[in-house]
Amino acid sequence: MKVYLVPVGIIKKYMKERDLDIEADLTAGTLIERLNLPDKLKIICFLNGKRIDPGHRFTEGDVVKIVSTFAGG
Amino acid sequence: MNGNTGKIINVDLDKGSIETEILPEEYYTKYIGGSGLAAKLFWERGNISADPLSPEAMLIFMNGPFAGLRLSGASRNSVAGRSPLTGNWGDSSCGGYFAPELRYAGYDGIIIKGKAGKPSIMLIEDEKINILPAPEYWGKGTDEANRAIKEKYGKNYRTLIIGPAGENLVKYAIILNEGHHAFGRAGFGAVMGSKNLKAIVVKASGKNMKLADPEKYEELRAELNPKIKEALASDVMRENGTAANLEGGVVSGDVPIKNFTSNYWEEMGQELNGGILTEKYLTKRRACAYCSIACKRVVEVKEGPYAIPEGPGPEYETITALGSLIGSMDLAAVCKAGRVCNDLGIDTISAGGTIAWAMEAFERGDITEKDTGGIKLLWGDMATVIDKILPEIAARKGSLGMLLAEGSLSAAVKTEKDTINYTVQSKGLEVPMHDPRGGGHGLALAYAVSPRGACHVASPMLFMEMGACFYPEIGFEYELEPMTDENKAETAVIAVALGAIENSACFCQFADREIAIPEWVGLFNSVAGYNWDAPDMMKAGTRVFYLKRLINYLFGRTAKDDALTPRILEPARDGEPEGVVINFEGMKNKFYELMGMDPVKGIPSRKKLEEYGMGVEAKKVWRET
Ligand code: SF4
Repeated sequence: MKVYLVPVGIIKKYMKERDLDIEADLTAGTLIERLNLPDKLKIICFLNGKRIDPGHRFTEGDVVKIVSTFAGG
Repeated sequence: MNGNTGKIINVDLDKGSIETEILPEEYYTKYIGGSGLAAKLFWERGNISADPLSPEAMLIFMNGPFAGLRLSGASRNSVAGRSPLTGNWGDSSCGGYFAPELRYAGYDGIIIKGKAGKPSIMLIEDEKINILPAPEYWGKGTDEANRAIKEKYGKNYRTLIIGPAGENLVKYAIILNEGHHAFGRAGFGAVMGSKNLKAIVVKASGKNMKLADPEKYEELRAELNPKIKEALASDVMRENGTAANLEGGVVSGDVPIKNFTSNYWEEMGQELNGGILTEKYLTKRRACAYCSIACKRVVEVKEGPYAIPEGPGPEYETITALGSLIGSMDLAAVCKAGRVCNDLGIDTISAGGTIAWAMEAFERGDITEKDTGGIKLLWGDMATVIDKILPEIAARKGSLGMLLAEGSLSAAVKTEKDTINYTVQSKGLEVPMHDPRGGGHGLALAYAVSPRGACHVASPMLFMEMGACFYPEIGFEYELEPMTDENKAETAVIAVALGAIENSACFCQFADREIAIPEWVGLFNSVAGYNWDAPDMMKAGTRVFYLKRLINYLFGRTAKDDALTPRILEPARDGEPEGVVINFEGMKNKFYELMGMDPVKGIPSRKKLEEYGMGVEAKKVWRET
């Protein structure tokens, strides 16, 4: 199945917006691991404006925002 | 003494006297330096009943033990005393180039009392220290005054300057180093103005420092500088400044919008972020002394209504406070508003917070054109902010300037209506630009218990919640879930000690996130010879936190003042945190319990104070028991 990934903020430096083929039972946590983003960036996925847990499973056509918690002071 | 010089300058502007003094070594090992040492000196010598803008008030500048080292982030300075904005203990830290120069000149700090007969500057050239009448700079913006002073004395003379806002005693006036780096918070520019002191200028002839164990320090430096420089966070901030991930913050609900009434504004995130600043307006990257991160921005807006020549550019707090918080997503306007604040000498966070409150009050009809001298206060109306509101505040001119020059809490009280509920402040200090409802619930606790009022740099809670640093040696090795209260009180116990260490060592929080606990201890020992282990260091940090609490207690602040205004505790209306409730009281009660603090007085118990070697201090606050 396909989901659409949208990097936000500094994540844009590491990946482009794109479709991604995933297995139906893939969790958000595993998806994040597969993106191979730098370890130091704590990543959260958002679906329809809400955070999703690492255990969340997607549905076809989901638009997933990939966000880092990084903040400046 | 090592690292520190042990020497401070005491100035009495009433008498025109200047004396140097050697401080006991124990002051440093107990209170570290910077804002901790300033608190110790204030506790010992400050006049608690003195108005912060009276001649009796103490204005303290204090270095940490690392100022002057060729080490990224190590050369900040603290200003401290009683804040005119809040009436409480206040401190504020500044990067730039003042701290190393003061250290090379031979001093750890300066304590200023009294009031000069006429506008003056203080000039320090090694042992030669003079107070010089200098009416020619009075009334000038910080940029012009900075240029004129450098032209007269030399471009390597380092300056601390106030703008017209400081001269006019605006309660959130700043002190600016080199026209760029600010002691931003708590209003010490007004304290300097109340003393008729326009500037402090320092030049050292050498760059000598005596270290306790130079070899060990060199080893540490060789390890730390590359580690700090190459860290991912440093890379991100070097490239796009501290607002690099503002867009991510908007999605999380961390970025405040229109006086914290909203937590989501997608287009704003796309317009105001650091990447856009780089693309459109950045001309240079700048750094504080010896820092390889270089998060500071130099910008130029070439055309349009907000055109500004090349000069200091805004960082995250300014972009948000003078952007989304007041309903604007015009980055050029933010650059100009930030520049105007710098030149007038106004804190951008408190200015943004106060103006945002006023815009909401105007929208609700709680203040009208009668209160504003005919000025309409409309969200996002940047032309009015830049051309009218900021200049009127700085000049304390007109009814609007008079209303807003004392900060949001004071303005709300003056309305004699129920408008305090939508001020966003703690202990009178406007909340900085991270909304705990979206940024992390622990931040609400950190804001409330911070001695100076709502502050995101009083402790590294923000970074700990976002998983940017871990300290296994002192028990912080767990991941936090920002959106819950879980483990937040326990983390805050560690965070307040670490924050006190950072702010007393005058180390930049962007750089020191990369420093592990054994490296911190190694630095204190090899540079200053404190001869600490990790528990000694943490104990000193907690002691500093406790002492600032005691000072606030003498000012009449108690546990009930560790509070946040309703706006920031009510459930968010939109965005990711919509509807979420922060368990603020639960976190606060647990924190008090863990810190051994009295739930009414808000200060540590006598027993706790004695445990921290503060038996003498305990006698002053626990007299009756
Ligand atoms: S990280 Fe930025 S603010 Fe901190 S010392 Fe370096 S240049 Fe200055």
